[in-house]
Amino acid sequence: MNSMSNTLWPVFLGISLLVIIAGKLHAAPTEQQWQSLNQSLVEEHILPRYRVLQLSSAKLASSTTALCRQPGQAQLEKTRQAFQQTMNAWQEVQHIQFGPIETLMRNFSMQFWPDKKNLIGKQLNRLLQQQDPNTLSTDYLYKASIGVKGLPALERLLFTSSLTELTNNSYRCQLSQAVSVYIADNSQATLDEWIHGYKDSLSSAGREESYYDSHQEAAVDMMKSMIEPVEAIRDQKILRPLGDGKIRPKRSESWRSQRSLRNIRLNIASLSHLYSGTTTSVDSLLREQGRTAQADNIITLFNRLETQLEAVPAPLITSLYQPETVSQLLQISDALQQLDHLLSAEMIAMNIQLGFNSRDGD
Amino acid sequence: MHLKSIISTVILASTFQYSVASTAIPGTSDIVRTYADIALATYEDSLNSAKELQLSTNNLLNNPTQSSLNKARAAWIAARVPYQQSEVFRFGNILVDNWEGRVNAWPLDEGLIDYVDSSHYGSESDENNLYRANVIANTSLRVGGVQIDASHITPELLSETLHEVDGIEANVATGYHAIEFLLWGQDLNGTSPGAGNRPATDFNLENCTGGHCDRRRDYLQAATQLLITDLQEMVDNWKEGGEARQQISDKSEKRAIATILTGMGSLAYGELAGERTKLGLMLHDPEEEHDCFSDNTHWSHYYDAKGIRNVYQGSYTRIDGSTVSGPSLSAYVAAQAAVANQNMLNKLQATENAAQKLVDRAAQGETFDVLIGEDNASGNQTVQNFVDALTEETRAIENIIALLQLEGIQLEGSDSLDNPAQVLE
Repeated sequence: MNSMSNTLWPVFLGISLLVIIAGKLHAAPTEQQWQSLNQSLVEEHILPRYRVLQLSSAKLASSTTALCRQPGQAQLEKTRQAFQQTMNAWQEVQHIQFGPIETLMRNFSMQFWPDKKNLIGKQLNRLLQQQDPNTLSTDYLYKASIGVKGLPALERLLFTSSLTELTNNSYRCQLSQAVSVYIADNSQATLDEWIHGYKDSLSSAGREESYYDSHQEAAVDMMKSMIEPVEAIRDQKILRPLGDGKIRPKRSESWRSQRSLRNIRLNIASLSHLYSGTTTSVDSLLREQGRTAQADNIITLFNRLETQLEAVPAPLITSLYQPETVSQLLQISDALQQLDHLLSAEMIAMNIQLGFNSRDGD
Repeated sequence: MHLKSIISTVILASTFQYSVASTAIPGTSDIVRTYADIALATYEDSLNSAKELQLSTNNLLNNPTQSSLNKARAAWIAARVPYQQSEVFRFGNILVDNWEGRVNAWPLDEGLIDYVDSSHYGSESDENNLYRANVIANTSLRVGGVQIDASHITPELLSETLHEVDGIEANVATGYHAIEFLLWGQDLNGTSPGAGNRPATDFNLENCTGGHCDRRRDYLQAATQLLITDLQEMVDNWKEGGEARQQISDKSEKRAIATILTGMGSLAYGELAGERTKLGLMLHDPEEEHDCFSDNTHWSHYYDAKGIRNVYQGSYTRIDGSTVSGPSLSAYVAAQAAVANQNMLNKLQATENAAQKLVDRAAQGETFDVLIGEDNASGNQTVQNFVDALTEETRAIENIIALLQLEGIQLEGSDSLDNPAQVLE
């Protein structure tokens, strides 16, 4: 480049950039195709998941309320079950990190994890020691640390408290109730804002009133939701608990409710659905672009991952100590890395630039 | 960035180039040379200011008074000025990233090093068995069934045995933050004003407070010496023929440019905006600040952001006031996409303005830990504005990456970048 004449080469470069970009646009899906994909994903993937989250978290809130009013072993079990249902719902939509869930840091409020410095434990203990009635209001939780108002804090409260600790309308029970109501409110607001606003913003991409300049730009958010979690699941949910040779089961997500493995299974099933489970899907777009072999590989890999995950014994908090489990998980980690590469390569082919992600720099 | 604007930017840029007889566009090798020269100067300044720090800590140990302690603290704060500007070189340069953990590891469980306040710090952690190991008070430690002899506190003990002991990253035994803890002690003021307040007598052999003053002195000396050794290593890496300079010089044109831009974006977004700022804001936790003992976070953030600007504009102002500059990435981008370049320059300025607000509020007594308090709505907003500015800056970098057709360039250089697919596609 240096040898080129200084006056001519910028012209040449400008033209060649135009040619390259135009060429890429031609090969990539059209605006219409992106629009169709986004619409399918909203109607068939995102909204149904937020509906389930709203329903299950509302049930959890009423169950916790009933527990504080009339504590009993059966009601405690019921509340723990309701927590499990809500966590199921959250794990199936955890990968959606744009739109209303981003507003007011709702995503972090729902779940702050991993907690490398034990801040949830510290901050929760401080509240439990102080027993300040003012900290039980929604207004307080709204501005409170993400450490004390999400699913991990509620998990600690519900799964490590004894029934006795939850009786006599104790502060502990009331805090559990307040947090579960907060979670239900958050879920409701997220769903409402998707239905009344965000959904329309997506479908009207390119128009003045939309948040998005184009359907392709909106699709970038969808594709980030599909790809970024793959590496995060691998690093945080699988490799961190394996701890470089020294097993650290308490680094697993949701170990107190013994559902670490279930979380991963739900995540992968949901990502697989995002990839190929809707009327127009990433899979169908790839095939229309003539990338059948690549699409087949991705499907195969998703299927293999689901089978591999089925074979891992639960709960990880104990099974991690078995060498066979470790080797199974390492294979799953490899498969996830492969999936990441395959999906990322297809993003280039479809002219999707994912950009920097929040985990760069870790 | 929006596709629409990307295309129009390219068209504008090419039209501009067509009609205006442009100044010479810098070649990649010139840009890389500027980049490496700034790296060298920044690490040299870091090294020199660490030597100043060592002189001050030696004075402190010779005569432990409040005055000599204050001088040592001032020297530490001065040492952060060049070092923070070097952080932009960490991402993208594997040699720097692998080394960085020795000098600037954070956050730390400081109970590994010295005494801590129980009511404030707690007594145990799910994650870390050595949460309160206190090596200054204990001549031997038990790690996973193995006994460690810590009877002599030496640079080797800190770097080879204690640092990240038991595979826990929060076991930080070396670097700026270990020294910071020794000079300030824990900040027990929560989200109220005030930094750590370790008494100078913690280093006094005759009237020792805090216990084990001899070992605390050894620790401070060992950690300061290590910092100098480590910084010297990085200076050598960026000299003519040094390994880090060589590595980036050997890269192809696109790869070298991608490396520089990746370093900028990774620091701006995931590290500075996310891990070091937004997380603290969301947790409202006073320990979630980068310089949590000294309450110097506002300056650390300011100079982190400045480092990004130095690299983009190809100019670094040294601690003696002189300037190191050369053909810049900015000029390279301007020649191909003038609008994107101007946008980037605007965002860099906006970030600097937002960082300046953090500095201004700190000068009024509202340091970072005060700003992130759960009842400080206006403080929270000031911090959020800094996060937003960095996020916009990152979008501007992504725009440049798209315009220069750098997507999918294979990069290595940091843990988070070991999978390039994740970053540049």
